[in-house]
Amino acid sequence: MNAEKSALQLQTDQYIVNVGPQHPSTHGGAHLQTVLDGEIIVDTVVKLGYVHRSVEKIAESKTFTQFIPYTARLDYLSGCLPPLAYTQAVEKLLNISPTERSEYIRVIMAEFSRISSHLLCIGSLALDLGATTACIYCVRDREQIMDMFEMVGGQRLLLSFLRVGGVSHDLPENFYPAARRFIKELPKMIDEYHAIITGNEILQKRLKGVGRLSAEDALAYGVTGPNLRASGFDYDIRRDDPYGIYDRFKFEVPIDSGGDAWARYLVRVEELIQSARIIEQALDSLPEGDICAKTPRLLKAPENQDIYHHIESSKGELGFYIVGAAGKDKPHRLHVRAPSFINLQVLPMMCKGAKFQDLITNIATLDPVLGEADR
Amino acid sequence: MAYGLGLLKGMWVTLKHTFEKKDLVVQYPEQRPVLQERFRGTLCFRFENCIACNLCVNSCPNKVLSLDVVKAEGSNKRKLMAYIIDMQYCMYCNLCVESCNSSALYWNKEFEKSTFDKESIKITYERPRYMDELEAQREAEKERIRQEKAQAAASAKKDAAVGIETPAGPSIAEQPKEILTELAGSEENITLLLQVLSKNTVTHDKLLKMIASDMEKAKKVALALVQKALRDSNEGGKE
Amino acid sequence: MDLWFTNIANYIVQFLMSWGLPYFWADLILLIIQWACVLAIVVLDVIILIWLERKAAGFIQMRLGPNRLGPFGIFQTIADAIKLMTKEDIIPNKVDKWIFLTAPLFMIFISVMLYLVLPIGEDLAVVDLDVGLLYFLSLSSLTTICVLMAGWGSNNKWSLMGAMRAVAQMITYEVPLILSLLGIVMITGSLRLSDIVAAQSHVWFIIMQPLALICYFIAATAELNRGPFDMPEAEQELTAGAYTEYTGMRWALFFLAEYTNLVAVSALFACLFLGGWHGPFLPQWLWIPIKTYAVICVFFWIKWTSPRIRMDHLMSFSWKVLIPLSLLNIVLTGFGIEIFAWVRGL
Repeated sequence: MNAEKSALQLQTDQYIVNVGPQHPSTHGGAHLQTVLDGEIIVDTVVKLGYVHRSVEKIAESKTFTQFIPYTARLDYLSGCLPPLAYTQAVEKLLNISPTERSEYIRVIMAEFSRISSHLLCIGSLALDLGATTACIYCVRDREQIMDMFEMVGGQRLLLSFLRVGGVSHDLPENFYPAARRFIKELPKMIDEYHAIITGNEILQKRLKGVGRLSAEDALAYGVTGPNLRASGFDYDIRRDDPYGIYDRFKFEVPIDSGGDAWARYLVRVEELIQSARIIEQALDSLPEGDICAKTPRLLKAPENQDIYHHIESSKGELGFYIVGAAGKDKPHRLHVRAPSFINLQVLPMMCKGAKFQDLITNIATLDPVLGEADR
Repeated sequence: MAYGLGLLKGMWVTLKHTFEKKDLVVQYPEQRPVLQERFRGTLCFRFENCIACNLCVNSCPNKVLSLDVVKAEGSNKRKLMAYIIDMQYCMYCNLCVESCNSSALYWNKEFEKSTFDKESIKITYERPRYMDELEAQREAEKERIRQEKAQAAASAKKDAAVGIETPAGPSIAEQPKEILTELAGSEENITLLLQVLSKNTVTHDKLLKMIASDMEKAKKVALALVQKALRDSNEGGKE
Repeated sequence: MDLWFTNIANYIVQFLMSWGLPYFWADLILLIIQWACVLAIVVLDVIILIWLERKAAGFIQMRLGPNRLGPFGIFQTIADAIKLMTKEDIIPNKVDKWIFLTAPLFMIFISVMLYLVLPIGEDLAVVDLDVGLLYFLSLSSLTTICVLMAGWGSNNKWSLMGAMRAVAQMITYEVPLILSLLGIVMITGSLRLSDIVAAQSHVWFIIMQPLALICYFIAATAELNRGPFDMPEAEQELTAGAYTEYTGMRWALFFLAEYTNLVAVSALFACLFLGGWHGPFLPQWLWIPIKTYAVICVFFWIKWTSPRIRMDHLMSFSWKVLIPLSLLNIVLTGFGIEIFAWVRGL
């Protein structure tokens, strides 16, 4: 409405600005062709494909085990979550049940991945809005998780640590105190974010009421994850369709009915606390035992079968659809349901009529990872 | 009307951090990062341990590893000439290390791997000179052990054969019909026994000796052999 | 000690006149020397400031900041300057050449001119204009035209957007900036900066004009394109705003001008609200830099804490909050003056 009004009054030309593919705030190689009327966005076209690595095609030429490291390259910010989805999908296909201890280790690592991804989302939101220091504080705290990942799997970011049937390493001794310390310090960190990010009036004004997404629209577009929950729709795969051993933990699913950028931000902050709760419970009830089930060296699909397995990734519903061919050690076809890709589709609708600066806010709060969107 | 208080609170946070100890950032070249025990720096190779089984090459998702294997003439023996790790494609996924049965691969903590050109990022492990010597030594060692075993066996044989001459000559199959029936009983069992014995010459010789020295013992052994063969064939049928 | 520089100037004039030069020429030569001094101070200031900002940002972010070149990394800026000077000066094909090339020159020229009226001590301004405050404010708003030139001449959408934002911001914030200072002018009854400083010998205006102080500080931040108001070059949105197409030394000139402006505005702030050269123990010409740098540190502090404000919020904040506040300040000051006069008359 705003756009129409000002166009009537001033009769200015619309012009196209190409935000990206090389732009500081598109979180990777996204290209947003934006039609502007002054500072007001008339239309946005999301053009993807700059980080396309044909991961799905690669999967067809790699054995089930060999593909695990590639999955980590999808959503590279939440280390353990895509491999978790993939390994669980393969286990479903091959009828392998992972060991009890490995299930708990997987939950701990997955929730740490979620925390690290959300911390980076909050930090990069602050950075995109111009508060560099807040971003540095978030990254500082995320660094502790990275150190823990290094302890466990030897790598900090692209952790190829999960295996079909379990995990590759047991948790080392020095992991437990580090994890407990992080859980203990997390409320203090969140207080600090509240002081420097949440409490800031400029930031509140920039987030509140920006990029509204109603629950109906979100469902129509297939938006999932924190973005959907921030629109007031109560859906979390961890609770509603529990995978692994998530039905054994007590946690709440944070909901916000606002549907704007502010709600999306608050839901993420709240999810940090809930993830920490899950980790604490998992650490308390961690059983002894093997870390990996006995599996043949070469995994082969028993029959012609296709399965779909989805998990609640930090970005939304991350699903792997695998078509297995009997006796083959490679999937016949693999498809990734990437939440970032689907969440990005609401961007044009959210941005219509908003200010140019809101485009940046909307991208940052949708929190897409282009590696996952392009695959 | 508390507008601006949030900003002031944030400024108080930043002020507090301004006067904190600055140990967050590692002053890199002088100060080394603390690396965890499982840190994956560079993939390393122990030439002495490798048995050139190719498992690591097959397990690698990115074709980082390659073996340069020469087959010695006349025999089936594989001789590893070089082991090449093309680090530029490595995903540090640890699959090769996990697949190796003789722990020939391991990670060290060397992470400063930048080079001036693409070629020099390849790590090539040439066959070290001492490998020939080492393998020869190992061969010799194996040979020695084999000989020792053989000697021991021979001496045991001698001990066993004191007084009784080794029945050289006709094999069990050529033995008279009565002896065979005594050994195995029915016609079917005889064919089965002969099948088993034709595959295994050592048992054959032993049994032959037993027939000559102790018929009762030979009967028992023959029965056990037949039963085992029956069991095997039954299981095979099930599969 | 207070009069060192005045004595040196007097000595130079006398020395020149003793060679038989008429007073006019001697004064002119002195003026040229003063100009050179201002330039030297500006460049030195900027070099220190860039280092200081990076260091301050580092400390706030729990880093060490530049620490490689020289003690505490103070030579880092010099190395950067050398790098910028030796870089290729890229002039894109489709730019409006004259506007594109002259914009940085005008910008730095105007910024340096600001220093002429600043009183560094009693009788220590290059030119002590009787309309000094007006001169300062009008010149500092001229820099916006240079940003517009850069944005228009670059023929780049990002640049144009940055330039347009700069102009909108300038028009909006120039009003509260001047209105907030009117209270001080009403009290002192003079636009001459040295008069304003002299009027603060007993009480600084920071106590008498707290409302004006807040208004001026916010408006000055916006005027300087700093801190939460750095819309024109908003890195995360407009890549580099009006300066997107500039490289090497031309870009460095903009940078230089921006920091020069920062120092000038902070020095004006020190003169108007913090009592200028007045202060105990230290000589006059040391108090101004101390106060200026203190103000600059607050600017840094805010910039590295706060996120960037949105363009329309920025506008409405100025029109709906700052301008009414500064008008209120004028009214209050008027009443205050009348009451003060009445009390005195009793």
